[in-house]
Amino acid sequence: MLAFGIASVQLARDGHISPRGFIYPGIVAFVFIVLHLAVRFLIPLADSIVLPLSAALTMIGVLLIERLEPELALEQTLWIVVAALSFVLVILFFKNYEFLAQYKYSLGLIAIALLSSTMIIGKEVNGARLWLKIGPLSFQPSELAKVLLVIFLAAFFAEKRELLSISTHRVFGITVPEIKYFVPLLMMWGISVLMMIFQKDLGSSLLFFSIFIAMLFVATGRKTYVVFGLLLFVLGAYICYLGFGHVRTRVCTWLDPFNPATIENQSYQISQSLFALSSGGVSGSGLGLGHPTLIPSVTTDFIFSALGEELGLLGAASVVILYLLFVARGVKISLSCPDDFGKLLSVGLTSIVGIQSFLIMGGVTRLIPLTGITLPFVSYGGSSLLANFIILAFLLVISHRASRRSSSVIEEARR
Amino acid sequence: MNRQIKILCVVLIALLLMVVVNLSWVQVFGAKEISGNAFNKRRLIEEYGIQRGEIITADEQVIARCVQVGAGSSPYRYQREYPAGSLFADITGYDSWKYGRTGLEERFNDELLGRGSKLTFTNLLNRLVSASKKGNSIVLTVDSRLQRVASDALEGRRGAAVVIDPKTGAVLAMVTSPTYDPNVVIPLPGRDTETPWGNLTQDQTHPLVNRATQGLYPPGSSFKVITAAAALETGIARPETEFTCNGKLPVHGYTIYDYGRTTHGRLNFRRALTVSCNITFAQVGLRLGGEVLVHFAELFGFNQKILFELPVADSRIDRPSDMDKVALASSAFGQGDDLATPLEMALVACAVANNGVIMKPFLMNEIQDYNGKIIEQVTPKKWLEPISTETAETLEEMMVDVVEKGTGTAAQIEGVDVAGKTGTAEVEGAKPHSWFICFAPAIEPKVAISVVVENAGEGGRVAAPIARKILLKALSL
Repeated sequence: MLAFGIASVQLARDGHISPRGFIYPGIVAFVFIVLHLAVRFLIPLADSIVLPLSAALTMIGVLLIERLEPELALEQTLWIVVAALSFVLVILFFKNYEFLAQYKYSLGLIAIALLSSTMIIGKEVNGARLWLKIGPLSFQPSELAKVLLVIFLAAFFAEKRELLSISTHRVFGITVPEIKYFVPLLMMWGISVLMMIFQKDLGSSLLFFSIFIAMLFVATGRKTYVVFGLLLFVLGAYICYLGFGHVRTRVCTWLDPFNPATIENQSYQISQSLFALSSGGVSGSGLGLGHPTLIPSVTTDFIFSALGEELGLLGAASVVILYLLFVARGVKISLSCPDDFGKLLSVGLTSIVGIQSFLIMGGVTRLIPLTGITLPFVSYGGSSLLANFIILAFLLVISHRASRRSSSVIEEARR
Repeated sequence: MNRQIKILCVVLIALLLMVVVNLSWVQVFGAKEISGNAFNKRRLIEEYGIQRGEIITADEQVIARCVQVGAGSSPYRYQREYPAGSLFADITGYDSWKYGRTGLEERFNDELLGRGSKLTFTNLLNRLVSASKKGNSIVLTVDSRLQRVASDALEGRRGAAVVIDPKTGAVLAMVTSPTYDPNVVIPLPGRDTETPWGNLTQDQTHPLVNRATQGLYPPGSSFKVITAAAALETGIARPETEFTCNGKLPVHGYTIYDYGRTTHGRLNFRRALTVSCNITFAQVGLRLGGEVLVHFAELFGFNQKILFELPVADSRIDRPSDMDKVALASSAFGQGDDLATPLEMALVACAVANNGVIMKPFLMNEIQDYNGKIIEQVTPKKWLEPISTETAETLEEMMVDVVEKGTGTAAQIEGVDVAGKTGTAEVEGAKPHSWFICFAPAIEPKVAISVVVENAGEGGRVAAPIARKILLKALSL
């Protein structure tokens, strides 16, 4: 599939096919073969669908980056190799992931530290302080922080979920938990709002908060938290809308992207994205034949628009379906997992991929206001790839453990 | 906990499906509306990636062609160049990704981009191998030699001239002055177009307006050709019919004077046209009545849309119900509220030249594909038939007299009978507009011409000599 894609890109761009172009996709394919073998060898009972799904998404990413900005393809390929290494490290050392629960507070603190680090020594890119610069490498700590945070939350909720679900009060005829159990929710909300204000990172802020609500709901089953959380979200969003220009801009460009007054500046990105998508139609312009490079940051946040332009609704919808399948498999892993920590961890990690892909795909298609965030596995970016491969590794480890335990249960039953 | 996980799963799947639903709106159902936005550069990049066809004159001069722009310097690969500078500006217009399209570039955009043509085998083959697309060329009826002479003859004075082959309606030359160089609005890399564009749009002499098709001027005495045609056709006057000119004519307590307050005494209708007697024509107008005069003006193309490749302003005459006697009398000699474009007055001359038939005017003669193969050829069409052949012949003789011994002697050419009519259109507070319409030779005419020069004085002094220069060239071709 990838080889075909590369060939078509080369034909469209240079009019001939050169062997050089097949090096990166070759490496990526090789990496996935190695990963597959590692999984078969180390955790043979792991889910057999999520890895191929991630492989498909990653390869689409490499293909698009090769087409959009060939100079970045090498870097992306190298990051994939690095991410694959960390994937292997995770399945080697965290095979017994349960022990992580013991270090939940340390992990939580590291996550907070990572998040706040950019406020102190961060570098501002595109109006958002998200980057740490170490030597020649830029690193986005919030990508790793979200994984750590999910581990922390999974452990925390697994331990406290009984407590948090108790409803003792009745307000307006509805039973609600005691006020003090709302404290974690308020804290998380506070962190998200702070992120929105100080880092101007709407995407991560929204992602963190939604994951938190999702996990809280799964852990406690209390709709009150969800309702209260949504109210807090609306409140926070409204405060930021009133108080901060960059939030207001996002909302205005969402409501009216084609306003002639802003179309050349503030709403340039979103309108260019919509032009790209609309020119794609059902089947797209064909790889290499559209003009997606007119969209700013097309290899990162707007890679989905490039896909929509050149591969059309069919291509774009296929990618959405890949995420859908990913979410479905992730949920299946979570359902099959016998322990609370594993359940919450896998559902949290799955939510990251599901919600993050929704936020950015919905953003660039103007379903929701645009928030700058990467498209998991597809977008250009090392930290994002690293985080996504770690998520993938954890999901596989959990699924392996789950099916091993269930098979041992069956064996015990047989005896 | 499994119940909650399932609910969460449903929510996530619903969210992702919403993306697909929204996508199908953005990409398919609502796509036209979005991609049609003027700020979408894709359409432009696509269009300027096509090697647009050339615009070629009847004598095979290329007057608009493409230059290839270096790939790195501009996303617009092919841009326009007008080798003749300003000479054909008002015909070709310009094709600029920044300022849009005008003139024939706009009118024949689809043809020049190769969109209008049928899907031939070669077309399909080119499309399949995605070779750079080439458009079709259009060949005009305009002759560059005649165009240049007409342009030179105007000598930069504000005005216009239109030259038409009366037998076919083919426009042989069309000039307007002042004009502009269309090259300055083509934003080639490194060329500043903002300043010239600002200058052009703010220029008080309106160089961007094509006066030949858009300029509305009182036709003055050149309108007398229409009044005379109406009088002859209805039998109100014959060339021999006698009139009396006292130099003034009282109408409803208002007095109409002849131009320059001259008195022509007793004269026949033929003579009245020759010397351009307003008093006689005022009387003829009053006898014709508003209904008939307006009816004939409309038969000649007034109050009608002229179907032409360039936008044309409608020439106007008031409705009979809006005319009192004074207005009717003034209308009969081209004053009052009559307004005409130079193109319309050239068509009036055409009617007399072509036995009473006005052919539909046209500029584009044929469309060729990029191999030079003719794809489409225009066949001349009849447009109007305001008068009979006999009336046309009588009028032609009367108009020959105008040039031989009347107000139009400045247009005489040795050995050729020229039929013409001068016009001196009075305007308030300024010198009159100078008109001349003519055709030659009187028998089997080759060309019909109208010339107008703004605020230049008498038609016989200014416009007639210009027409003569153009005639000389036209007859030599």
